[in-house]
Amino acid sequence: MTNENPNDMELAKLLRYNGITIPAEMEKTVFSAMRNLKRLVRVLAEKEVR
Amino acid sequence: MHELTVQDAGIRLRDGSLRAVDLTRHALERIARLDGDYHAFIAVTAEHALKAALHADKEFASGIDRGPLHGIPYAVKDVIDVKGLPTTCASRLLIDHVATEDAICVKRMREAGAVLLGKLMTYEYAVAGPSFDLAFPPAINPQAPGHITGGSSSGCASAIAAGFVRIAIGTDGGGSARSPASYCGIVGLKPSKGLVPTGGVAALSLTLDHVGPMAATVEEVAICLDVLTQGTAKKFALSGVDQLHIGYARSWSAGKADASVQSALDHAAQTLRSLGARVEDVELPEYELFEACGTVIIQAEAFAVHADRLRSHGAQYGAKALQNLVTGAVLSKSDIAVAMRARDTLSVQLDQQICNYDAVLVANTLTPALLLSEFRTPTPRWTEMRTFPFNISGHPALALPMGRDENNLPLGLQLVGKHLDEVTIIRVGMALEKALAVRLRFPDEIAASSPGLV
Repeated sequence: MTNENPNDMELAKLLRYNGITIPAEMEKTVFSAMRNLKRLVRVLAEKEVR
Repeated sequence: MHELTVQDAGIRLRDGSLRAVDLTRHALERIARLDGDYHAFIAVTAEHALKAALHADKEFASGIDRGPLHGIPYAVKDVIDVKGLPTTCASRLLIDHVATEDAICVKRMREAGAVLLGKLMTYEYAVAGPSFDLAFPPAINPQAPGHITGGSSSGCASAIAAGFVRIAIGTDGGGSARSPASYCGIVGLKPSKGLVPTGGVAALSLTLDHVGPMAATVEEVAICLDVLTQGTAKKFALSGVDQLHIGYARSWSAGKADASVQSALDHAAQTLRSLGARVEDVELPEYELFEACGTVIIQAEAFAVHADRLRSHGAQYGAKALQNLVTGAVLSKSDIAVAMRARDTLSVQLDQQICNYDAVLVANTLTPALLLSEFRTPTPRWTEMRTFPFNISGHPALALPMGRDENNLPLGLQLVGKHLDEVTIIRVGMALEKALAVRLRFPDEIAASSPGLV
């Protein structure tokens, strides 16, 4: 996903696109972890680790 | 008999005062008696073990000597293939997944005459845990009942700390051998990247995965490493640390680690000085960047490994592994490229510092083992460690005990070496182990001396 800060709806769509189903009660945790991963990518890019 | 080191057992196996079959039978009896409390083993292969031990005895009798692990019992984490046995990865999905070949590390242990006792508990797919919704209960920490073992090589640490085996083969993708070593009061090694082949080991992250020998003492880890590398690791000298130049990455833990951990680390640094080493503080690159880099890589690669199975059988994963693994779906190819570029850069920056020293002293886990009850929720939870950077850079890293806190919980440190220089960190580790007088005491011994502690 190229969106740097996706919302819940976009992430749910992404999982469906990948053919993956998770229980509804896990969505909050999973979506939060996904956004954190995108944040970590931004940290690496912004810190210009080069 | 379980207190015999590999070296002492080896002497007795060769002078005829001990038979491998008796050593193996003792271990099997101890497992049968105590593992109901610890759940270290997923499968015990008693019949095969006794057969292998008998074979070792016959070989000794006929003058065949396969080296230091000949006739010595050991066990492997259940993500490692053993021909004819299931590799379950602690997953319901793989209960009947029988390996058709030995992993390379198992093949080498077999050729060295070591006696396999069985397969050990792991966090599911070596991902996240401890879990309470799997087909197998989580391994218990024999050195700190009621506290986590750490993971993912949880069963390896539990089995050694309980006195079932002196050595075990684990894996380490981000600290999975080193954190349980710290929490359970044993020794764990993440060798240099590529030194021990990962063939036949269930992949989590091709970039970060390592096979990691674990043992009761540093010298036993060294002996195991020598077998796993078929002697390509240099022989281990016992020459102390006098005149060695040791870096101390204090800023990676100071102000962040539990006070007991920091105090024990400072004491270890001072001990090295008193042994004649030149110890000075070293500033390593910003830790948080390594954690960011490693997290992105491991989540991307683990998702790639599991994507098909998550689609077809997602409901059969445990909650922690499922929630962890699906997150990698969010990463794009360009995200992964950012992390891989960072990996290259950070590895060079780290190497530039480590190369200035014979070894670098670093925190391992920033706390003693946390309460197991805090992990009963289905949500993955992480403990704070300083292990990830060396999976990213590939430097060898040795975890060993450095004492206990006021609640008698084990504390561990980490020694990091130059690429392919396991010899020096093992040398420093052996000197520290001796000077700190940290000795693994088994639960029955602790209970006998301190009723109420266990």
